[in-house]
Amino acid sequence: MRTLPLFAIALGLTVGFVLPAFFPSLRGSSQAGTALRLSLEDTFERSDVVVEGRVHSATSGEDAEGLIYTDWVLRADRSYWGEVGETFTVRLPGGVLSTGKGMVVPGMPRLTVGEDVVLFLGEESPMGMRLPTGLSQGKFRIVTSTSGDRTAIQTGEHVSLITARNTRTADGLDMLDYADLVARLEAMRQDRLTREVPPILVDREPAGGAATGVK
Amino acid sequence: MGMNKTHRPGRRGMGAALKFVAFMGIAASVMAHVRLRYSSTGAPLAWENPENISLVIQSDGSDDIGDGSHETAIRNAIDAWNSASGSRARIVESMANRSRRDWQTNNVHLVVFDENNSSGYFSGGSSIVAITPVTFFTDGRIIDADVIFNGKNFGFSTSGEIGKFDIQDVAAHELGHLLGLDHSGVCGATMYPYVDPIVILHRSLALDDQRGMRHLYPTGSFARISGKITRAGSGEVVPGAHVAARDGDGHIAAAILSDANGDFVLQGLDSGSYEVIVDPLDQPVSSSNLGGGQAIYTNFESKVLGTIAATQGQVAGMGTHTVGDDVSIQLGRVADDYPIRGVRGTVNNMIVRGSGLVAGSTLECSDPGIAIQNLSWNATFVTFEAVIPAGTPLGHADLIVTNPSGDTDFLVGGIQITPPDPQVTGVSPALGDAEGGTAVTITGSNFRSGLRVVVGNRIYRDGDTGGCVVQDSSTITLTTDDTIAGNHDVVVIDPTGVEGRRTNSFNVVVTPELETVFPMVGTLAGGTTINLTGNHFVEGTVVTIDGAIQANLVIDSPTRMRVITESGIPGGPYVLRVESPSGGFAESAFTFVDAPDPRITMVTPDASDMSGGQTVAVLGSGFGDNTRVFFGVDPRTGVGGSMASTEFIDGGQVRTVTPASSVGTTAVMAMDMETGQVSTLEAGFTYTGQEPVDGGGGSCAAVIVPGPPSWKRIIGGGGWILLALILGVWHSRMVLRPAVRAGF
Repeated sequence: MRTLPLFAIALGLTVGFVLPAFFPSLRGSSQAGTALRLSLEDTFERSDVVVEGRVHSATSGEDAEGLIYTDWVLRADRSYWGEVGETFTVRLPGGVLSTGKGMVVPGMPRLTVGEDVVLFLGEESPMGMRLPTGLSQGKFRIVTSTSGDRTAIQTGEHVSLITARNTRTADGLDMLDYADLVARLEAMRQDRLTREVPPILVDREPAGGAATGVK
Repeated sequence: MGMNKTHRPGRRGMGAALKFVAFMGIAASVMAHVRLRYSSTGAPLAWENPENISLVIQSDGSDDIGDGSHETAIRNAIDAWNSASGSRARIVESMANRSRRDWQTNNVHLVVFDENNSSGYFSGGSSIVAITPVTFFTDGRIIDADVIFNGKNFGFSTSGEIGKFDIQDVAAHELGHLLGLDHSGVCGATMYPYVDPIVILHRSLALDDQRGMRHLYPTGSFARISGKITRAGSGEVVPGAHVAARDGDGHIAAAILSDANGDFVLQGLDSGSYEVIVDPLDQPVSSSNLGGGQAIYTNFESKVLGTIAATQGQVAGMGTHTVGDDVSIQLGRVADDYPIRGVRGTVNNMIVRGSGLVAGSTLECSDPGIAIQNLSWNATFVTFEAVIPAGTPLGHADLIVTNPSGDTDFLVGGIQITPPDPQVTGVSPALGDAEGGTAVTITGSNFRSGLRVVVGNRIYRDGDTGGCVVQDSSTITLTTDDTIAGNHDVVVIDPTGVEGRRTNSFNVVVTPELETVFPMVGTLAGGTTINLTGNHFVEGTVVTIDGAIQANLVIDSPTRMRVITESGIPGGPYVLRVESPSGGFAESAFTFVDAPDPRITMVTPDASDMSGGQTVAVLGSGFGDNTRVFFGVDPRTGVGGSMASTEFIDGGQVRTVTPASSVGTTAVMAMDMETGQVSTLEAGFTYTGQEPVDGGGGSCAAVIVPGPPSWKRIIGGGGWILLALILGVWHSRMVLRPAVRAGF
């Protein structure tokens, strides 16, 4: 067996542990799509808009370059970052047109009309898209049990994990008490307000006209 | 990240949840591996003609990579998928349309680095490293897919630079999406949802990835194992249960999710005996990592279902198996980097996070040959040593934890057993020509069959025609192909993806080629513009005449450059040398004469009819009795054109009669027929008139019947200039090909 020289061990420790401790970007873990692996705080800080609401409607379309998108209209309940009106339209890549052509982006969370969500969204692109921060990490689905308790689940619309999780507790990435999530977002907002002014966002008209269809 | 109290609704909540799931009514058939799906119907997505999926590596490349090695890395990733046994899918690189960036268009499938958010996916401080939009029809046919790297927010590397993402690793994952795969619950799979800059093990496909290809695009009928998962007591089916098969070595051979009815079919297996396990798809992979189209249950125990023999072309049925409630121990966290690498023949220190990891628990590896020792339990993590004997089969093994109450959990495919890194200690020779043909021997250790050697933009695969040959575990031989110039790393990549590298160990030199040097004579005072044509003129090229550097050098293109001479000593021909930065050179000749170069400043009049016969004055300096004027020569090479009758007036003027020519602007050249000195005035004269026109197509153009050629035309051929060159520089020895190739 080949033994590692002391220098190599020291270098390895430095690169593996010390540098990442001081330079978080070096940790750089990522989630495919591929996106960086983010804590809730990172997700908040990287977002241009953090909004909670109910998905009201969806309309898919195709832009001049052939990109298929869906405009999701939210009835906004509250905003944690970025001032929004009663409705807020989010354009996400992907969707299905009435022609039967569709586009999916692996890793991208999917919304469903009628679901309650907290969305963490990045800056708007020149094409009008706002991508969820960290892809699937940028969406929490809010689920209410018959007892009235609410839970925030970081997952797609197909989630079935809304039962009690005995002791296999998620480490904060998959499932949160809704009240905890709200409290943490509020604290993050107040902290960020000391450093930044949130953007004021004017809602845009959702897609219309040719080649549209409802998902 | 801070922990949060987890919501635990009571039975009523659970019942409501289950009703909700039933309401969703997702009846997708979830089969081998995890496939991309059209979420509304659950239709799996796949290419209709997978045998030839065209892919274009966009030519702009990455801002982070200057030596073209990103293309090599992407080609290696393509090769990994194309090499999956039992799969018909082939990604075929197309060299057409490499300049296109319109990834949205369905008729080109691109791998592109987006350095300025032109895609719109990477606005602001985007956290997306790469993305693969897949376009499909609702019947499941994929019609387009493109891989877009976020070069705006992230750095990419092919040499393991800290903090940058490995292009091959990321590309391998994204190409899996392109082919129709979603994320995998197997920690060591290329389609595992998480990658890190320091992890390169996803470069190579796990068996689970390969079984996914067999499922999507099978070449034949493989062994399958079917069964059903239900909940103990209630008998309710368990959708989305993660079921995996371990082979005789205890390594993961395939994995699937159960469908909405709790049914599973493990696909694409080789004949053999398998131990089948079931595990909730919770940490580190969860439903949030998957696209739509399937229900995922996770509130049940991990369990070994049993062992069964599977035979080629047949389905081995396991029947229905029940699982109990969820348990109080869990292994694996999103925050960890998976797979954990275990090197054969070494003792590996490992740490795994989780919950309920208390003293008194046990930890085993599914590979019985791997011993787990020196455990330290810390509730949320466990540290230990994995002793991996030298002969351990390669692959992915599970970790199995059991607490004192007997509850157990699996970390499916969490350990990847690899060989030690290849070590490259020598590369001989260290120099080669960009045109290839250099026989290279690489020495080192831990070389295994099936490896790849990367030199610059070239990949040499063991066993391929034109590839490399692993002579033994310490020697590789290959003959270079044409390669991009530069001092390159020589990288040996094991089939498992681990690599050895010797930096800057093979210098590929460009040998310039000279085709023409014009003129080959100039005044000793300097200032003569020499036009050189040929190939491989690159930045940093140096031109010398008799050893003196000619500082005024302009490289117009890889095939053309200009030199303005420094002053020289009369005589010659001297050696004119063109030397590339990498040391390759080509030589020709140049002569200095003790006379000023002719210089044309004006031609007046500067236009006349195309039929010629116009007397014009050529003004300038340095003219003599031997000066002759040519019309229509190529100003870069002096080739072509027609010599005109020329009358010497004085040193500042000659008079000439234009030869006939075609309509257009042309160069005028004055040449001293004795010395070979020239001056060229580009666009110096314009022929006017109307060219003969083809009268077809119903137009009304006049038809011009050509008459016999005039004497001017007869003597105005390019042969005159050739003759002049021969006479003027008859003593020069023109060397058009490199005399010596550096380094050989």
